[in-house]
Amino acid sequence: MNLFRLMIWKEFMHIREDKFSIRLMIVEIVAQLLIMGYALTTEVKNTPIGIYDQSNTQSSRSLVASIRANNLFKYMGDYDNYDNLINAIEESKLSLALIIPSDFHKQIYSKNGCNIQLLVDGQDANSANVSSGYINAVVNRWKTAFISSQYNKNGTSLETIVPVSANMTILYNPLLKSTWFMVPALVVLLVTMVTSLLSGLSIVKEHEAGTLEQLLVTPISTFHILAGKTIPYFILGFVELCIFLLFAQLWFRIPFRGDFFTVALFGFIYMLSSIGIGILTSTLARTPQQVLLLIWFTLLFFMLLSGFFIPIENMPTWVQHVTIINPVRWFMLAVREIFLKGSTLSELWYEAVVMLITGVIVFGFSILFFHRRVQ
Amino acid sequence: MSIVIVENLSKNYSGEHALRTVSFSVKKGTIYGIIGADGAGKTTLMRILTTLIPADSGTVSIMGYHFKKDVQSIRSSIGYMPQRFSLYQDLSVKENILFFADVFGISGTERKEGIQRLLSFSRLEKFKNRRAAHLSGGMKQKLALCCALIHKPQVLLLDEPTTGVDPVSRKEFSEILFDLKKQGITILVSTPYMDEADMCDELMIIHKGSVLRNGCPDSLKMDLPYRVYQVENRQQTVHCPPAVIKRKGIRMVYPSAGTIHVMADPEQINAEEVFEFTYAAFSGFETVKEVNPSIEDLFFYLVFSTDELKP
Repeated sequence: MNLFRLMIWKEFMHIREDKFSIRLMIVEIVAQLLIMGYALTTEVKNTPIGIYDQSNTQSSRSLVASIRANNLFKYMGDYDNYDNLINAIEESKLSLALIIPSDFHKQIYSKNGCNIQLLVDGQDANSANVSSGYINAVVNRWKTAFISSQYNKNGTSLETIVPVSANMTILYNPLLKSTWFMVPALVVLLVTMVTSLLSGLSIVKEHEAGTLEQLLVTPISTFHILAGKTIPYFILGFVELCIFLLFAQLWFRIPFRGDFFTVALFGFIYMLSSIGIGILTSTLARTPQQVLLLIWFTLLFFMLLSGFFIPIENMPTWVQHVTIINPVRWFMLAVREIFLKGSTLSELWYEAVVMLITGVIVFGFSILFFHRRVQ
Repeated sequence: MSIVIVENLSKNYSGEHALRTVSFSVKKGTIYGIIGADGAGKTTLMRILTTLIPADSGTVSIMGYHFKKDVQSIRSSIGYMPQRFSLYQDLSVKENILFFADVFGISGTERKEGIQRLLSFSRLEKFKNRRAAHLSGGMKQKLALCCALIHKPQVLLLDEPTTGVDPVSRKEFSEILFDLKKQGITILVSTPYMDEADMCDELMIIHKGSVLRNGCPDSLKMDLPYRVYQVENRQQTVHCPPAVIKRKGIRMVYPSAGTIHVMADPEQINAEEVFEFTYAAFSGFETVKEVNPSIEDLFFYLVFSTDELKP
């Protein structure tokens, strides 16, 4: 037991002296939470829009006004000819261009109704979809208002003709704030960086310095060395987890509806995988640079296939099956659920079991590989 | 009496012989030198003795422990200093020694006294709070020695402790080894420096994985069947690449510590003729004189006779 304590103490001494890693940990928490927390948003806001109003009548102006009033769009001005509008799109000044025909006023009272043209910059397919959907919604709302004003003139109300309206209640994230969704997922990045990277680097450094060899010619066993290389990083991982929880609640004001122990348990299960990856990497790599590259490469896959950027449901079926072994996916999901829905372990047992299986396998292999390499 | 016994040790690295049937034994309380050029197999031998790598065949016994069956016993009872400085650069001198004391389970007053003894003995007392990274090469070696000595091992294995260390520190280091020998510690030391041979009680000359000779330095020097002449210039160093000379009576010439050594067969050539040869062959020297052969001379003789003179 004494030797275990000694090895853990020694590891903390190294971390204490490694000013770079300490800075990395602190800067990472602040930078990732602050910048990424706000930057990573799925909302499409401030889409630059230009309008060529050929009609310029009272009705067309009311449509333009309702678009301008909407802060989802950034109104870039009126255009007075078609070429200017096209040029503005080509120069990427506009992502959306709305063309209102000259006989707009006349057409809306005609039998066939009116078509207005919307030009959309489709380079970013997702934003194009979302923003053209917004335009449709705005136009529809304007249309409803227009129709109901017509009926009001005749003394009937629209509701009596179409008696259905949806009454929407949004659960868990009532304001649909994307920070509420994104910030809990960032904990995965934080914990992974600290545990995988630092544990992997620390082992390779000892290998490079020859201290590992020196330690082997002592009564210290491989398991003492492994304990010294894992337990401190479990502790650091928990510290990061706690800092993150405080930050999310105090700074972002995200309500924490679950309980701490469930998060801590998931954190522990997840760290089996992330520390396992760190150790595994260190047995494959010879230099710190190789560790960095390997971990970066692995994490890139794990992040892309985690549902963080691209929803899992959008992936081909076989890729969806592959993501089952991805611990990042389950940890991210679990943290979000615990955070926003207050899910308990009994509701998240599937995630816990899958992560535990992956974790035990990865951690087990990493110990095996480390043992073999050292021998 | 032999505390280390090595029998028929062989090791191959992907088909290449790193060690070929190496056998020797070391008497308790002596300094045993393993002398050879870079790549001779010194480090491989050391790493097998310290149980860090397995041998292909042969056996090792250290203090009666078998190198395969009693790995843990060997590891905890020897002191080992690898070729490269292998301590924690980010810890101080004292922290490094403390760490290894704890590793070997030394505690209480024994630990306190042990550290004090080592610090004063290695003259590192003044630097005890300095980070290992900021020590000079010689001080690093002394610190590594302290860490290898903290558990009072009976056998000390030093892999090229003086490589890359300045001559003053090398001198100091060999004095420290003599002190340790007086305390009854058996020391195995490998070195590429032939001039360190004389501090050994016994030594082996290893070349390309094979032991060319072993024995005590003085009797080994008698093995040289040739005479050695030294060509020197007091003002400047003279130099020539080592070469085998196939000329009547002259065997080879090679550089040695700023002078040139000429090896000659006394049965075929006398001193006068050697002088004539050197006058014709080298310019810019002052004197030629016969010297007593050293281990270095023997080394060149052995290496050249195995590598080049064999048909």
